[in-house]
Amino acid sequence: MAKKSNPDLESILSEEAALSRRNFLGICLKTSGLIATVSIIYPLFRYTSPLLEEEGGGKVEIDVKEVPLWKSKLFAYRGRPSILVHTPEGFVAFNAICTHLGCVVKWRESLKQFVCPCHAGKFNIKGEVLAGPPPSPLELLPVSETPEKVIVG
Amino acid sequence: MALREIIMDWLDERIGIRDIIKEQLTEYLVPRKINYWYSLGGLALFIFAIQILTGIFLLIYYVPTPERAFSSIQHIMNDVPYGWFIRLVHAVGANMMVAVLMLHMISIIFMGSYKKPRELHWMSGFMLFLLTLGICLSGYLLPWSQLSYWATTVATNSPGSMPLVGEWMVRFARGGYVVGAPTLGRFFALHVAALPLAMVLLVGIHLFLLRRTGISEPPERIREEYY
Repeated sequence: MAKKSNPDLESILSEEAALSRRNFLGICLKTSGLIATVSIIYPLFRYTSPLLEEEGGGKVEIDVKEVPLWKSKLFAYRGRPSILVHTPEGFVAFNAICTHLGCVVKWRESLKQFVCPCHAGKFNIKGEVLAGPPPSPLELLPVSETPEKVIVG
Repeated sequence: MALREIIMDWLDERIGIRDIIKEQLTEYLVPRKINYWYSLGGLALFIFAIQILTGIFLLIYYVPTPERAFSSIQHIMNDVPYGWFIRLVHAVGANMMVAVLMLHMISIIFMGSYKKPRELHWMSGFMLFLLTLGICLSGYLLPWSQLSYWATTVATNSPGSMPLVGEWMVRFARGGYVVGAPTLGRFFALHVAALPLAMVLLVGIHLFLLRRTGISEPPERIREEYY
């Protein structure tokens, strides 16, 4: 047994032979090529990605006097267009992005409805869909009130 | 000797221009039974050339910022001599290009011209069609009008239906939560540089493939007859 060659050892030796200097250098070249490619792609990806700072921290304060009864105000909440409406029961705020295809809804005081200009989606003051193509209600935003200010968030 | 002959002799001696013209133009044979449908690819290329030309002219006055975009278009339409003409050729040409490409594809489908050995023609052609739609979409935003703003809002909203990555893709396409200055910037770069360059390269590949295999012949009883 000792005199015969060990097949395992032989295969190991031949594998070692396969890792010649040329192969080793080839692997080094491919690896550095990969690193170089990633180090070019990643900055380009970050360059084209949206800036993160837009998200903002959270709370938006709006002066009560800015929004009389049944009037509305568009504002940015965490980078998203949002709408505040003054009702007799208090202030309500919604994410103003229409749930249909992403247009910004407007408050129609005469109809007491949110109306989307793109495909005539209509929502009531609770954000529920009244008519048109929107598949789901408007997203309600948390609102708290002080005598002078409305705080969204 | 006429000047034209002197120039042709000079070129012929060096690069054999007369052979190229003979092989590729004057004695380039096309199947006898082809009809108007077979001119649509060439027509699309002609419109593409017009789009590049009018696009370059529009670039002289167009300003790609939210503050100036719309007013610069108004300036082109109202003040610049024949500005309305250049812009409308560009706008109508864009529509015509899509229409012509669709007719081109219909004829290819009905004649079965996409079959072996012309699969690569179809693939490169279909990518060209997608790029055309992309360049139409990105160009539509550039006037920064109500119509273009909301159309872009709706169009960039559509990947949002995809699970997990959808919302991120919408933000990436817009460069923010809503269509704004970052959207105008990236769409402008796509419209005037990235997409036209990609299309020119693909048109080159498409035409190279066509010349390698020749035009797909309509099935005919007499196959050997040429003009």
